[in-house]
Amino acid sequence: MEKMGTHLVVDAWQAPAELLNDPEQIRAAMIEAIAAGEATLIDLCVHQFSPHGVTATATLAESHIAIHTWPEYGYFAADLFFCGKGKPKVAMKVLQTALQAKEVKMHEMDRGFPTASMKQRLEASMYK
Amino acid sequence: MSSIESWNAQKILEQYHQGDRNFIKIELNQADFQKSNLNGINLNQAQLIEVNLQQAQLINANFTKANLYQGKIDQAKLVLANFAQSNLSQTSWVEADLTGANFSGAMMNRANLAEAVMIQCNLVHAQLQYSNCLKTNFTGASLTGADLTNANCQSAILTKTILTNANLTKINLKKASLIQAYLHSSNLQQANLEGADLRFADVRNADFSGANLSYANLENANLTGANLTGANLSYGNLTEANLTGANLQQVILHETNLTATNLLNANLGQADLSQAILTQAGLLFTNLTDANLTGADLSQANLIGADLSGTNLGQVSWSKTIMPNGKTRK
Repeated sequence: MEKMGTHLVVDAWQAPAELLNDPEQIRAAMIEAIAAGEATLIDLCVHQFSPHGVTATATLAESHIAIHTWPEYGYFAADLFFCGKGKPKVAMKVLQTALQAKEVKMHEMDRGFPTASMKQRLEASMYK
Repeated sequence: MSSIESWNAQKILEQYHQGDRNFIKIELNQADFQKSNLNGINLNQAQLIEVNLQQAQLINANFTKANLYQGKIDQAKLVLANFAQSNLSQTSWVEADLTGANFSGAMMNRANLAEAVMIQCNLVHAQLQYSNCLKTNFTGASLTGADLTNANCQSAILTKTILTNANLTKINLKKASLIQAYLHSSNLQQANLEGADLRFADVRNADFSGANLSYANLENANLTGANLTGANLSYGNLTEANLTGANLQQVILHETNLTATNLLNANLGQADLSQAILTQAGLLFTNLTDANLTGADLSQANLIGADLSGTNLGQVSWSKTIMPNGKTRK
């Protein structure tokens, strides 16, 4: 595989509802995760849904972190995509700690091209 | 579109009113569009040197890679306009509404943005050296990697503004509002932040060496790993700020409020802490060699492991202070 980046897809449960419904706490958790993951923040958008739930997206020089919360279930879904440098697993650990999720399931995926030759073929076709 | 030579402002307006929006690469230097309505116009790569867009409406207009050198855009409405990679040097935008506009990679050196509204703007890697941003509203904008060297941002609003890795050398941010601003790893060497409001700001690993932060409010700010060598923080407020591992050598903290400030492992060698309020401050393993603490209040401060060699402790107020050896001084 010609790897372009690492994608962590995370489900987290048993987190306090009041934390998952607080946009300022989510914002703070995202900033801590970004710092711990040694990522470069470009933009951060935090949206509070009605009656509950928060979505936060961080645009990073290294790609992105996104989180969606369901306070009523004590559940949040997160995905962290890092290309090149950075430590996505460390960032995720900080998110889990900050949002006090007791149970977490994490899938790690390599993102990119199935083979190096396929990447070269596609690159060549782009410049025809 | 016919040949570009025959275009003038009047003709553009006529074509626009007939529904034409694409005027790519058009050459219209010194064109006068004052008070015109040109919402959604596409002026990608246009040559618009010294253009007059004062009080014009250009919502969602596209100026990508356009050249507006020395243009006059005062009081114009340019909400969500796109100026990516354009040349905007020496342009004037006084009181313009630029909410949500894209200036990524734009050249804006010596631009006049006084009192402009730049809420949620994208200014990533924009060049703003010597620009005038007096009272400019940058709330929620992103200036990651931007260069504001020698810019005048006095009384500007930078609430929740993102300034990661920004070059803010010698910037004037006197009385600016930077509440919850994100200044991670930014360069603020010799910046003027006198009376600035940095409450809850994230300035981890930022470089404030030689900066003026007198009378600044840094309550609850995160300054972990920041370099404040030789900075002036006299009369400032650092209540509950986090200065873990910060370099505060030769810093001036005269009469500064450091109540409950976390100074774990900070380097305060040769710092001036005369008459500083350090009540409940955490000074664990802090380097205070040759520092001046004359008249400082260390009530309930924790100095476990701190290095006090050569420290001037004349007239210090001690009350329930935990000394370097762990014993409480009453």
